[in-house]
Amino acid sequence: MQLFGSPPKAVAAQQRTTSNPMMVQSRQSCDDGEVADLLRRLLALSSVQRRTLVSLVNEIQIASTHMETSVEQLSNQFRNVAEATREQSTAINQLAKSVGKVEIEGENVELADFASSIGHSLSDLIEKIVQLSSRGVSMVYALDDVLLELKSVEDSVGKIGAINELTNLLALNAKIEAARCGEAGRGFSVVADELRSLSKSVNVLAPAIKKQIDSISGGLRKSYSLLREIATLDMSEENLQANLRIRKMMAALVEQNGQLASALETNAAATEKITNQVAAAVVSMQFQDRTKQRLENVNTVLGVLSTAIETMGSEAVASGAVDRVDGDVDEAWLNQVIGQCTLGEMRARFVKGIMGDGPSGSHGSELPAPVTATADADDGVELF
Amino acid sequence: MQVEKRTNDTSLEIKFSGNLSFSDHSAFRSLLSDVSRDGVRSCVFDLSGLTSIDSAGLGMFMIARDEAAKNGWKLTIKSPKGRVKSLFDIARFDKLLAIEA
Repeated sequence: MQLFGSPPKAVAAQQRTTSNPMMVQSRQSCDDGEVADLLRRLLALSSVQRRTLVSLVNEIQIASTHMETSVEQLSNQFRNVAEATREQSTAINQLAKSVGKVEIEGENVELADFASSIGHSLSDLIEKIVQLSSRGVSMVYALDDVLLELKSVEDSVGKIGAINELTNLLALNAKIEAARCGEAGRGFSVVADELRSLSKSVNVLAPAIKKQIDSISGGLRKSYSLLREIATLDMSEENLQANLRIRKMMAALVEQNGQLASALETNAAATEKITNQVAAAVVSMQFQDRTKQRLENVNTVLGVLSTAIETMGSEAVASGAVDRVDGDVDEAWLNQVIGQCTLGEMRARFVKGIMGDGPSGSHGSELPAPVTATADADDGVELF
Repeated sequence: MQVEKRTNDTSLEIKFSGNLSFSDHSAFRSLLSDVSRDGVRSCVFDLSGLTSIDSAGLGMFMIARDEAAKNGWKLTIKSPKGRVKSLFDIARFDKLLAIEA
């Protein structure tokens, strides 16, 4: 009786009216009819107990199988998660390694080296520019010297002109003196004519030379302005600032990249941790195996109890105390057992298990309501 | 470009001010030949007053270096400031010339 807590009211009432005098009587003299009645009722209760035990064994098996399937599914899912996070960890590690590098013409270069090489290249470039400018200025100096030389050549040509004027004058005088000498000076007159003719030729030549010198000077002055263009490169504030900005930008890029790499490394470590945790969870899932074994043991024990109850019933029949093992199943006990069952699906199985092979009565329509409001047919919800 | 010369026994100090550019090439050249002609052993170019410079101006300091080597005097650059100093740094002049802060 203790199995089911307090007995139903009907039974309790009966006990109050009948058991006390009976107990007194049994101590004094035993009425065979009352003992047989008690035995029948005890057997009826045993019958409910046995059927309940069988149903419980069945439920435990269902629960164990359900757990086994679910745990296997969970283990597989966890294994998949572990595999995925392992791949993720590898990918992130690779990313962390490659993030600090740039590929230039098939060669991997550290970003920091790349940045400093840009700085070097910039300095190299400016060094070259300065060298070029210095050569340009040197050439300007050389040109200055050439122009100076040309100026002195120009002066010399001017002097030649002056000398030529005198030569011409001298030839004219010689011509006059030769005419004064008459026939004797005839030959001398011819020489004077030749001299004047030569002087005229020089007179034509000198301006030509002067013109050529002017042309050369013009050409040189043109080169001079070209050299000025080459040697003079704007080193204005903007250009300088741009150079400095490039350096700062590269430094910032390297810095940011370092942060990114370290964040990725942290991420990879975290992912690895997740992988390990999930693997550990899969190992923990082995509790199912142990629980299954325990439930099997419980089932065996319950089976033994059930058999013992059946044996006791048979012995009672054999002794002739009662005429059949499955006396009338006590409806109040049944309702009590089924009423405690809040899972709709499980309740249905209980009803079938306890009443199905018992005497078919009018119980079907009088099944007690579940004790809690959550008891409903939707087992999916009840699982939680 | 404006220059201001100060001489003592063995060395000559020339203080530059304003802007050094291509147009100063003649003045710079005669300045160099003056230094070589004076026969000083050492010459200091004080650039603290120089506010800007172009590539030709930078090139002129290279010519000054060659001129000093050719004529046997020592050239020292003193106190480049601001933008001029930045350019000296970028062009790595410290490897080519003796530069004092």
